Amino acid sequence: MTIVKMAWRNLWRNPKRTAITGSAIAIGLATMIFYLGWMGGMTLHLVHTMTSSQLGYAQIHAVGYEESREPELTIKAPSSLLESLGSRKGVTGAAPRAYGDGLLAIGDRSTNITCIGYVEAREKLVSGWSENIISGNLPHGEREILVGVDLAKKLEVDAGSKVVLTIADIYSGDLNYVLVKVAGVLSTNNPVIDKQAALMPLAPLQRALGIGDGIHEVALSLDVLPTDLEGIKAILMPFNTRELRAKPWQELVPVVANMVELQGIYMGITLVIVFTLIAFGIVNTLSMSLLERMKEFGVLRALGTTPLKLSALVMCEGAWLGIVGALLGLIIGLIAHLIISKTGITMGNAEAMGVTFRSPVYPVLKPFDIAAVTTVFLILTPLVSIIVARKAGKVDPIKAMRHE
Amino acid sequence: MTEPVAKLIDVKKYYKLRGETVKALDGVTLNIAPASFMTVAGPSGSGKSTLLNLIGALDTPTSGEVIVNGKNLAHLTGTEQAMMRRDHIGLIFQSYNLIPVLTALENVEYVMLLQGVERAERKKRSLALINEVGLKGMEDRRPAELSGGQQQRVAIARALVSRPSLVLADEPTANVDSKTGGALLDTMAELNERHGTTFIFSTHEKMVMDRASRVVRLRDGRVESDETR
Ligand SMILES: Nc1ncnc2c1ncn2[C@@H]1O[C@H](COP(=O)(O)OP(=O)(O)OP(=O)(O)O)[C@@H](O)[C@H]1O
Ligand SMILES: [Mg+2]
Repeated sequence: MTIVKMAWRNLWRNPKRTAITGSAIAIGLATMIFYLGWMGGMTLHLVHTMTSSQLGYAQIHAVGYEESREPELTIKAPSSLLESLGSRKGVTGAAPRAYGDGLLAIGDRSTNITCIGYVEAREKLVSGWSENIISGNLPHGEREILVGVDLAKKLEVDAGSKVVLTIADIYSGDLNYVLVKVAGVLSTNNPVIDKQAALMPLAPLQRALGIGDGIHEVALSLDVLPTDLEGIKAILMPFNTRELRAKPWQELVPVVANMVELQGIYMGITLVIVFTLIAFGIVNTLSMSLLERMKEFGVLRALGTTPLKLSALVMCEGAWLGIVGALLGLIIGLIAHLIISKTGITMGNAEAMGVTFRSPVYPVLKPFDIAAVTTVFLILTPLVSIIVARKAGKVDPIKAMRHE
Repeated sequence: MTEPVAKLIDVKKYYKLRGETVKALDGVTLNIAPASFMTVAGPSGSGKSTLLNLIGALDTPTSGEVIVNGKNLAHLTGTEQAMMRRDHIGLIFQSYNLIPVLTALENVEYVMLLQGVERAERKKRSLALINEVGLKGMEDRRPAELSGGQQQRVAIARALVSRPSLVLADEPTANVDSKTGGALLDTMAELNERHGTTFIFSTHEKMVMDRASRVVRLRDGRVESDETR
């Protein structure tokens, strides 16, 4: 019979109250676990969608292009760059691209678009464009294009439609009209592409723009984790030259990279808010049970229990409450996680950071994170109990024993 | 002369109640010899409980000195007073005051648990005393499963198990019928004789006073009479 055992029995003297507070702790922890998984899933979804739809893990441009988007700033004679990228350890794909403004017209409907010239054989190692064709096929030959799903809707075209594409030569300003066929429609979760892009083979776009064999961008896929910034930078190092800038995706879209980093702080703030609410419940429960047992605490003091031991008893009761609640919360949270891992969470086409959540988000949980929040609950519950425990230590035996 | 277990020197305990002074004890001087079996008698409000609380280090006097086991209680810190109660004083209350979540055995063991007595020893001593107070076989019952008289027997065992030199009992028989009260007194008298433990109990029952070897009568916080038989 120890203080610990006594605290356990005391906890169940008012099972209803203990159950309510224990559930509050459990629900709090389960919510945190769910939230952690959801945020983890969102992040991965976000990063994956961004890096696989256009961005890649890193990009190489001519110096100045990324800031100004001046079409003249091309990478000249890219074949040697692509060759050395091909032999660079850690680079799993390198996709050259050219960008040009254009006008797409069908009947009396027309709209401004961005033309993206690409090389299918290389692009499929970087962005999953070809996997995202929702109707039609990959373009065959120079007179076929892919259009984004929202653009297709706007112009009321589909695979097989014939459209007129107008592109201006960037030096002379001469307009090149070409009649092209829509080979397929693309849905990428990347609104830049879905709303305003026409994808076409690289060579005809280079000709129409008058940039020779120049390209605007090489997007890379690498065999490191997308979140491993240092690893990405190490691979890129030799490609930062006098003419070229090689940047990891984190520097190309710093907003997203910051958000990923800030997530830890958001989680911390949420944890504080959730636990503060629960703490009121814990303090309330323990205070009530202290008041109800005033006389008993007086007797314990009279029998020679030191104030410290009495405080320890109350803290033990708090600790038990925390253990019961946290254990329950852990079980509920993990079960919920397993279920949601099967079903996913549908985000209803919500858009964040330039990514549309068209497909469901699946939660991602790191064992360390689960252990961390659970530990926080296990430690904070007895810590919060100190407030009540101190009062218990100050109980005056005579006054308390007169209490009925 | 042997050293007294407890000694009170001109002890006063005054309460201020809405501007008026209530003199619960008004100059009490007493020497209590070891192995006494003594009652503090007197009408309601005469200061019996106050006196026992002062000797038990549960309360502090307004003036005067209370010395228990040679220690002046005023010189002890709160924790030291708790230790004094734990190691040298057994308390028995009018309303038993057992800990409801503990079984009879665990209630008796509790003080030894605080003292850090080893488990087997704790159990042995507790069971022996439970048998002595006549509760053999009831050690695993919780207080709610015992009668008032049985609960008070557990309380007596609890007060005695740590072998205190002094047991203070505030009207221990007030909540039980006279037959049960008599049996409880038999038990206490027997323990007094066998272990040499000093008992001080308050009462206003004649039957209880008749059993004591010394009767101190209080009136309005003063010693009215003090007779040893
Ligand atoms: N906390 C207090 N505040 C004010 N007055 C008190 C307090 N405690 C006791 N008294 C007063 O001190 C006096 C003695 O009280 P005490 O409890 O010692 O009497 P008692 O002899 O034990 O009476 P009873 O036989 O009814 O138990 C009473 O007049 C009581 O009203
Ligand atoms: Mg009294």
